[in-house]
Amino acid sequence: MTGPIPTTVIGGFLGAGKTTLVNHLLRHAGGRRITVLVNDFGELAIDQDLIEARDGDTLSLANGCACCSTGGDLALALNRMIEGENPPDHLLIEASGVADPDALADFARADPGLKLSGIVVLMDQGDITALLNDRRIGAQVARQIASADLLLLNKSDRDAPPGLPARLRSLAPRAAFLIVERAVLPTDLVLGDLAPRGRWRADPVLPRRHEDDFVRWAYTSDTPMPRNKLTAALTGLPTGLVRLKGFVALIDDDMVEVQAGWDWREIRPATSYGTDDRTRLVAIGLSPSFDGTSLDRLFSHDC
Amino acid sequence: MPDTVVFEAREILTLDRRRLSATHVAVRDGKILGVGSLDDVAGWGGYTLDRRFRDHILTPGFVEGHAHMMTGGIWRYTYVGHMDRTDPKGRLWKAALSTPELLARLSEAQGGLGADEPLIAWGLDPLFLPGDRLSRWELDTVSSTRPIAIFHSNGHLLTVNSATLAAVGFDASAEAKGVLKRSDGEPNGELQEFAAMMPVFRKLRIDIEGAADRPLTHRTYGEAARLTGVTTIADLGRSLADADVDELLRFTAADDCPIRLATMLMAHSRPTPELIADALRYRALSTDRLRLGGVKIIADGSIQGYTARMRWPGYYKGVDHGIWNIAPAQLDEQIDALNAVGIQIHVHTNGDEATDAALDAFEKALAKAPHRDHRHTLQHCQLADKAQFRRIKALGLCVNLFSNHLYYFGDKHYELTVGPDRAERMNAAATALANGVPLAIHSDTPVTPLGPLTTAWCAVNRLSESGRVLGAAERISAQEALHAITLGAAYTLKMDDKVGSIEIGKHADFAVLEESPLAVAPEALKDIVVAGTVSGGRPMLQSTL
Ligand SMILES: [Zn+2]
Repeated sequence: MTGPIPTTVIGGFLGAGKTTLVNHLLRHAGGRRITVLVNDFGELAIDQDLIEARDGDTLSLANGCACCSTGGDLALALNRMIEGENPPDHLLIEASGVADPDALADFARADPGLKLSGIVVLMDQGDITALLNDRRIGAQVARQIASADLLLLNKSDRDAPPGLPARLRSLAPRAAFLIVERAVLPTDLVLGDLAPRGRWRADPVLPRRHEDDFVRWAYTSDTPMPRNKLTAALTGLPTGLVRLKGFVALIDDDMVEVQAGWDWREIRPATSYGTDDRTRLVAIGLSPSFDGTSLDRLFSHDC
Repeated sequence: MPDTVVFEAREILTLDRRRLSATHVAVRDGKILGVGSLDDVAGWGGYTLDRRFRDHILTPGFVEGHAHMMTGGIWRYTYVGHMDRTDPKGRLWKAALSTPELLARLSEAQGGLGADEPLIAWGLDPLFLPGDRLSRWELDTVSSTRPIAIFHSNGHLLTVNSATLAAVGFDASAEAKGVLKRSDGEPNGELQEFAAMMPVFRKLRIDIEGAADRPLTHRTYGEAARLTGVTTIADLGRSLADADVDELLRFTAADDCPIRLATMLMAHSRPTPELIADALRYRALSTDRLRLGGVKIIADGSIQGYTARMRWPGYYKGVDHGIWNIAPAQLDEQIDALNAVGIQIHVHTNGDEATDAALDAFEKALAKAPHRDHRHTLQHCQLADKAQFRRIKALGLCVNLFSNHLYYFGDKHYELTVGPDRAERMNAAATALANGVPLAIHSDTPVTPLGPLTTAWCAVNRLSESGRVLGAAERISAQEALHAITLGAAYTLKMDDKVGSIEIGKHADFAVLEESPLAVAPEALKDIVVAGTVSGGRPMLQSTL
């Protein structure tokens, strides 16, 4: 058996675009085998061409994975998935429109066969304010937002009401916040390790129309780097940075693990970098301010 | 000429106003041929007189309108609750009234297990065990190597021993909220809510719903019903697949099947278009013993869990965690879509705000598609006030009230959840009847024990477990309660044309009792011994009568 299955919970009220996002992720799985767990089939709208077969609570998806409801047979379904011969690379839990994503995330926190990657909560710019103000449903929607590691606001034709970002920020002060269109954003951003919470800048970035707007950067080097050079590089990261992480080999020092987001940087002793002791970094950001050449320049050091 | 059997009884309570009381009932082809005196029924030709019930009372077989198939799965595990209970095989499980008694019960059960088998038990309520709260360390004295897991009676907690914690890898570093810990950070063995319990379900292969062996689960469910005089029982909310329906058809077609089953489709099991298509398709497969085609929607949570949606002024003491299991706007849409095509809908509403939401949805849907005989039903509907019952009547809805709550949770409701005023109007059966609302009452087994006579006792006496009377004004008579557990419930299942009273043409389904529910003192209703049932003319008795 391999390690625990990385698990991402996707929540948000009805009409927020959860299924659009799930369909997008399935289509851009990048070779990953993804299983989708649905806790309310009443809202299920996985694209028909992604579904191969249906048997009661279980759907087979075209990329070979199952999709099952959290009914009474959840234990059986999880056993089949986790202890089966061919566990998926990633589990997506699609929460129902009224479910508390944090309660579903607890499944991944508790189960030794699963590992929580993070909670993504979607909202629709057109109706989120009305929902939050709704006497009957407002508190439940606010709880969903508060549980998010990554908040995605789907842009609509209407402008965001003034004060919305501030209101969302106060509900989820530790979440990352992105404005998107039709839930289009990179799969690796959503499925990546969204934790640790509390390190993301809670400011909106510009709305992005296309997946192409996201730039990925990868860097490998055999040459160890002085610590002050690394500190300087992290200080100079471009503003379009969404996420950077990896390992850096330091001169006269141990390997360190590096993580960064918009407004936070972290360097700590590396604990699990395997046998590869080279510097390895990956990052994702938004064009045009984020580009690979400037990052190359920051980290290369011919000394 | 077809065989005719005439059963003679001490008294037959027919629930047919033409002749409320009789001594003989003639049965042919599993149906009632005649009711009255022997003279009244003898005219149909040759018959066999069966006098085995001459010392017994026959009533219409009881109809439990809100129950769950899980009841058929749970008795495979050891019962350790604080009240005596009888299992579907008729075995009495004595209450475990102290921690030492409970541990002794577990040790005893362990004797019957294989070396690798985990010990699973259920029914625990720590509030009723004097002394320190049960934890992993007490359970370790039963076994330090065999995994042990005990379900609490509320279904939301497990208490497990150290071997179970080790099997699922829960230690001081466990992050999930539901893994409860001692002050020093060590898990104390209590696992709260589904997420934290799930790894134990997986690792110990616990199958509380009996999903792995449906035929056995079905038979056990039938037995549980038969033991309590029930001949027709709901299976209120399943995410049925075609294979499940086949299994239900097989089970109910068997010669020894003691029950008629009304199985409803859970609304959240499918997108609405598929839900409608399957409900209609399954409805067409219905038989005399299996009624399909209804849909169950769950609107809110539970009152004792503080998850019911409450109107002002909300909960009495404690924090409001009210949730919608379906958003009100979505409830509108779903009820509209189902009602438009004539599918019967049962909606679970516990709190009065959820009841309002369901009433609003039905009002809009019925204005568009006014089916005269829809039999849409509010299930539980525990906190409805008088004005809501008037709306219920105006919309032609039925209610199936959760009368057992008055006894099992009544004190908690009075003292904590809703306070005195609303505790006294909970499950307002008298108000329902005063407004002419079709009434059933239920157990929601396994939430509370199955047993329509106990449910009737609850509605008639309205006594809490501590003996407090909760709203004497909402008491109903024994006659009204007997109606609610027979014809009343049959009506909500659209089966009142076939069962629920002892009349010519109906199925010969009877409960066989030692005493008449209409003759004993009201407080003795629950103590009436059920000797068995007759289902489709076939006696199915506890012992050889
Ligand atoms: Zn129920």
